[in-house]
Amino acid sequence: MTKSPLKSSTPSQACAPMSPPSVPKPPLERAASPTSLPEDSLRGGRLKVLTLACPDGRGQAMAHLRLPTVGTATRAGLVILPPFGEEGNRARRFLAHLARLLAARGIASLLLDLSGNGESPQTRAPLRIAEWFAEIDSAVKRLAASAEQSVPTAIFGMRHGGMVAAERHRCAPAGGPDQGLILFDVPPEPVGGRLARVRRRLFSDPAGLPPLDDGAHTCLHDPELIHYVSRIPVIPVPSDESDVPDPANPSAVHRLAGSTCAPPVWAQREALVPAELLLALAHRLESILVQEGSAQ
Amino acid sequence: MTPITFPCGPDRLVGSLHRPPVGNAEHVGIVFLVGGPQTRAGASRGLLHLAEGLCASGIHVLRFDWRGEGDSEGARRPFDGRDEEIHAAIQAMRETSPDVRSIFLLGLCDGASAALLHAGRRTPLADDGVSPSGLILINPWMRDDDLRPPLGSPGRLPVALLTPFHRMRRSSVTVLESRLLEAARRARPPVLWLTARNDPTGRDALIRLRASRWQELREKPSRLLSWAGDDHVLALPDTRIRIVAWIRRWLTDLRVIQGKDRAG
Repeated sequence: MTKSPLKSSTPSQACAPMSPPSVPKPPLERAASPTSLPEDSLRGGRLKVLTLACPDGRGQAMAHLRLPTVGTATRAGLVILPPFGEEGNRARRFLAHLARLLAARGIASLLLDLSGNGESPQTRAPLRIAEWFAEIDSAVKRLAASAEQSVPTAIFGMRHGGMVAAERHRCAPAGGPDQGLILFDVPPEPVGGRLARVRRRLFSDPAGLPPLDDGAHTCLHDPELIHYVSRIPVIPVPSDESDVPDPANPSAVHRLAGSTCAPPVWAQREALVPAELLLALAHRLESILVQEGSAQ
Repeated sequence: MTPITFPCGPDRLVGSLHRPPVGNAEHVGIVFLVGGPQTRAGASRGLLHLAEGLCASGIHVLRFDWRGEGDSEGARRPFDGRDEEIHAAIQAMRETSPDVRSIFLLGLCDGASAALLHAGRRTPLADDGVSPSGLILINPWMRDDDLRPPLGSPGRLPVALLTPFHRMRRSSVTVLESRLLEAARRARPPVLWLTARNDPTGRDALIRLRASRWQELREKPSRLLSWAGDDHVLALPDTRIRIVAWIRRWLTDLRVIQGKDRAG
């Protein structure tokens, strides 16, 4: 077969969803060499795709459980809450690569599609955010059951997934959930009209949950909150250095070295997963979960 | 919906299988080929909901993540080099859905181009269990580049407003189109072409497909249909309802499903 002249020009921009026709699209980004990614991130670990029953019989939430390879002890666990909407679509391979890297380091992960998102079949988000909390609880239990022994566990929330995770901690009874909280690139406020509407509906829930008027971003830097979730510390990984105000308790906040990446670096459509960021994040998560988690 | 994984060379691909309820199931399966760097749910989850609509009308559907995309392992490949993945997905559907007798490929955007190129390499299309029985190609990608005409230029005008000169310029044969044409002539698969008239990709494909060079490849049993709108990724419920109905009607004409009315 003759060499295709198309290899460096793909039509990905044409698949951008719901973009107004009048908005010019950015120049096509060329694909980087796939060899820039470590082999551990391409394949590895034991993958089980699960369905978790949603509370109140609303259906099922899809979860991807990735365990270390046979013979490798599980040293820690991580429930991953991906971004919502198109961000989740774009971030998926980044998170899948991350899960495989963590599996190679002995860290089990469970990537949970909250109902109404990703592969979970429901069309809409639930009416009460507590239902998402229940799905996360179910995921935590399923992850714990997969390990041979008790291991440090944390919730890793990215973008809007991080907002839900932060809200779960905030609304938890005194003492907070047992898991640590790690937040990656959580936005100061929801992005997009539909998500904003969902958030308004959920975060001002009439069932008594407190409204999140100050936004998860502020919430993250509440000293009390950081204190009680700091069994495994919060890591606000900024999309931009200027996004992050000085935290009230700097000792409890870890910054990812060299994380001055452009905002959408984990979500670029054509450029492959940024290997440098991926490796740095996996290394940092391992350090927090295994070393600091076991020391507490 | 049932999650599955299946092998593809050294990698495992992750998919979601939609099985219609027993008693309502046709003997037809459709393997979805998502376009661009998207997950198997598609942008705005359009393909997930389209699969649910087809499944409700009795058709088996398998959606899967390409290698290196979404949850699947491995390094990603260009859309014109995905034969191994398509072959593995068809085999996975055969194994997981033994009642399915005919398997069609449904491709969106460059997934549509990948489907046609794949069919062209499996010539002649044979009833060998791993060749698709036909193709459903939605807004197929037929250009060599990603250049879009600037705002206000004739390239932005609706098809009906173009002068013959502009029509001729816009429909000049690209390298990819010639490869697709060659593949289609070689395999001669039944194709249901579906394009959104106001979507740049769909409009571009529609102009090309209306040219005489494609005439014999859009006539029966193939069919070319288009709808007014720019819903490239099938994000809108109305688009999906229309497409489910068109697919059912076409499959009925091909006599691979029964023609009775079903909820969709």
